[in-house]
Amino acid sequence: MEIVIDIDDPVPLFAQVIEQIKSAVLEQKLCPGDTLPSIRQLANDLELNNKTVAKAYRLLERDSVIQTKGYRGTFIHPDAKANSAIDLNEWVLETLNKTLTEFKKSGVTDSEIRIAFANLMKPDGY
Amino acid sequence: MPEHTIFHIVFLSQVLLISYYFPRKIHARMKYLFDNYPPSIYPKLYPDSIESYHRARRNFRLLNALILVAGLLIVVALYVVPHDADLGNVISFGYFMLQFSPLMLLELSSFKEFKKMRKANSSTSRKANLRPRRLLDFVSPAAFGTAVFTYFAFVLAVLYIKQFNFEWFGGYWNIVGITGMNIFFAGIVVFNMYGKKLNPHQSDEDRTRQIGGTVKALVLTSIMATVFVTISVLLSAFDLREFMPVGQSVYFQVIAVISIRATMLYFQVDDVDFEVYKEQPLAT
Repeated sequence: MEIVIDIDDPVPLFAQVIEQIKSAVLEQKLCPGDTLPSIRQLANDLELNNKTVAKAYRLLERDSVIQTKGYRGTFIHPDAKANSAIDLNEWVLETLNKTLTEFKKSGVTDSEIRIAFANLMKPDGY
Repeated sequence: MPEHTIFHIVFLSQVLLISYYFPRKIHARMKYLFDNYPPSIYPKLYPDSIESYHRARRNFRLLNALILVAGLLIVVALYVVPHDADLGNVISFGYFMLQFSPLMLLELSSFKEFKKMRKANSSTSRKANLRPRRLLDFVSPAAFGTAVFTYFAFVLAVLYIKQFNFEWFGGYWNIVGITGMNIFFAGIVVFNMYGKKLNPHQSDEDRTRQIGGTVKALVLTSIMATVFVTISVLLSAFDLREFMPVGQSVYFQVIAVISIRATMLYFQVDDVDFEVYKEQPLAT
């Protein structure tokens, strides 16, 4: 199974890696239990920084598309197919859109929303 | 002395095998490549002008011819001038290093060519296979197990012989030398398996074949080197040092067969995917 990324594409490189691995899972080119290459191998093959591939793997693991089993390597998660269909970015956008619409209906101004959002996004915001 | 005559014959074989037979094969392969895969059809294969490759091919042939003549002169000199086993060892080793120098130069120039290929590569797309590479995908467990077993058997042999306190015996330095060699080989294997892709156009199948050939050659070389050092130590222990030049020359020839012949077998020119070196048609 081969993945192809385009370094001139406006989509960030880590997002291209995530997208292609999820697509491969949905198309059943990658099945639960299949082993993925190490971060170093994939980064060197794609001529990317290790951190870029590490970020892609970290987000895929967060989404339960892959699972890391220590020194044994990285594997496709048993529920990868179902989890690959979920787009967290899409969900965040939808949720924020609903909330913002409610705020605006209630007369909250844009600057009030920005200030509240900035406060919440501070490390000690919660 | 029969051991002298055997050494002369074996050394002549070393001269002819490494400085005549293999260079001839390599030269023929270069010519075949240039004739059948020309830069007009495969421009990405030649980051420099074709003349520079023909010049390098001629220089390679000339350098080997000079080394061959020097080797034949040494054979005549060995026959005429009386010599002991130590001198035979020095000559066999020194000449082997000289014989391998054109191959080392060829290897170094290939690194430079790959660098130029990477610089000239304007493609923005990058491909990778999602299959992890593991050592045992490239070498059989039996061969790898033999290498490990040979190494530990060698360590035990050194520890056993050390208790006799022979004057000539290097002791633990033998272990340090062989361990250093194995670490160096392991580094090359790791670089090949997980390191940067040197040739930006190489197909995944070709890369897998290339890694396989390198790993197999290094594992076999490791086994042979360990066996050779063990035999050398045993020959000395049993006071058979006069046979060491013969053993060393045979060893060099085996190493050459493993590293050159095996590499040539794994990299058959016609198995290589040359389509990747063609110019991509412009998108309409």
